[in-house]
Amino acid sequence: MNKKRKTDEIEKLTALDDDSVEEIAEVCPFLDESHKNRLYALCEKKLNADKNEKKSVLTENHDTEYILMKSKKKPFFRRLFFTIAASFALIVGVTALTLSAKYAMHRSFKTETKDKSGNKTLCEISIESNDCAENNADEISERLVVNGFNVYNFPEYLAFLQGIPKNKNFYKYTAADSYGAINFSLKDLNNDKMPEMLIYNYDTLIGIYVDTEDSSVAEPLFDMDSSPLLSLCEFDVIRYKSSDEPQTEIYYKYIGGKELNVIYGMQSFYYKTFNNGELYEDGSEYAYYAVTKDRLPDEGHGWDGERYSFPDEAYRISESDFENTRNKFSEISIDHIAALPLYEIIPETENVSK
Amino acid sequence: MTDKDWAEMMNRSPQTACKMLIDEYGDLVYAIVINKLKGTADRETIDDCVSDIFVEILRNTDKFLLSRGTLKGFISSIAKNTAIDTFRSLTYRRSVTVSADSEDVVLPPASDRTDDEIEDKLFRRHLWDIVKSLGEPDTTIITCQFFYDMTLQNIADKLKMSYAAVQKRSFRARERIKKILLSENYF
Repeated sequence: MNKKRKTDEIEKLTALDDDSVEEIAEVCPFLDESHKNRLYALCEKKLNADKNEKKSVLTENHDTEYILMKSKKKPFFRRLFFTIAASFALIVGVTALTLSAKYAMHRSFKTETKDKSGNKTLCEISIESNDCAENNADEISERLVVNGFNVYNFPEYLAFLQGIPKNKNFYKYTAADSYGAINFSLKDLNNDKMPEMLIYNYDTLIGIYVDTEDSSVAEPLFDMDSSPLLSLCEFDVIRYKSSDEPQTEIYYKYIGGKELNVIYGMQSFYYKTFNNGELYEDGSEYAYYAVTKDRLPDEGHGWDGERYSFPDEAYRISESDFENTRNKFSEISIDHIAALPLYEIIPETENVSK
Repeated sequence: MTDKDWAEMMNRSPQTACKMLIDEYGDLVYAIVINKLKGTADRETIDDCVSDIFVEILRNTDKFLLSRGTLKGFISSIAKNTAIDTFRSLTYRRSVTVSADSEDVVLPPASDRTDDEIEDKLFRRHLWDIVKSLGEPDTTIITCQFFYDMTLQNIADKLKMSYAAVQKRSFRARERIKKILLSENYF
């Protein structure tokens, strides 16, 4: 015993003399009824354990007849029982491990969606782990797969789908990963050609209208205001100009988000103009902006039929401010998305699955 | 309950005898264990030790029946020994081997230490007398707070008083103790 321990021991063992302790127990009893019951239960448990131990010693050492009897019958059944139990436990364990590993890699669920006429469509939504080797990525990430289409950024995808009018049956949405964002291409399933795309004006908030054969039925394809999520979308759209201006191709890239009543956006606008089949002009423009609902730019911004005009300088923000805001949009968790009723968010499963 | 009653009960129904034992001597055993293990063991360990003591008493009933001593004395000695064993096992487990040459080890010479021990013991006894003289509920408050290591909230619950009242009474009681000790030139 070392000296230090001895000091402690002396200190403790001389705390109070026996008479004082006895008096304290009388003057100030500590135990209440429930505490006494607890102690009694503890004692009973220990005494029972004692009895069982004695019994087992007895059976093992003295009660030879009993042991002989047991050795003839019980051990066989016991062994059999333990063998079955162990095998079962092993099977259950292995299955659980396999399933959990599979689940970690591939979480999938199915949901039914209804179209206008009430037809049910099965939609399979799964969350899969990204294969680093296959995608040449540094980190494992998860991706959302809806009916076989990969989507990396869930909020964008869901916000995008949510904004699509339910009666738009003739578009096929495809989603492909591109720099961690989404490229959506829209296809008119009826005639297999790209629909006309128009960038709508800011005075009705950000929205992309689909201009079909008949421009009067143009409807907002993506309307941030209708999305309960923080919306962020990024996609490339190849604009095929109408037949009277066949020479110009516009490559439009839009990244936008909404936080409270502020819309943040970045536009990159590439254009190539051809004149009689020859490249006439090749240019691009960028802008970062923040627009509030009650402080909208004047009318006339956006695509005017020939060129795209950005909002006023007053609405421009720095790239870093934009990036900071954009990071905020990306913080929406997977759980939050998964908890949303997807059958409502994905209006046209049939289209998605095609 | 006389010792004889208990011995008879032990023959008839050991379970009832165990309950009687805890009802009658539970507080004493608890106080003995607290006195030895306070600051070393947590509540669970203390409860465990107390139950061990009662189990030990029941296991050794034969020895008590053969002896001419009192049940209280028998219980007290088992309680003390078990508590000391528990204390030793706890401190042994926690102890770090310290070299006798280490600077941390400072021990007065053995003879001085014995004097200190006696003085300490006398002082504690005197302190307890002062606490007793405070009157209720101050005696209980101080005992619960400093002997049983109860929190003020638990004391308030036990005495059905408000937290603030217990706090105030504890403070005033300590002031009174200090005054008494000062007047007796203890400081």
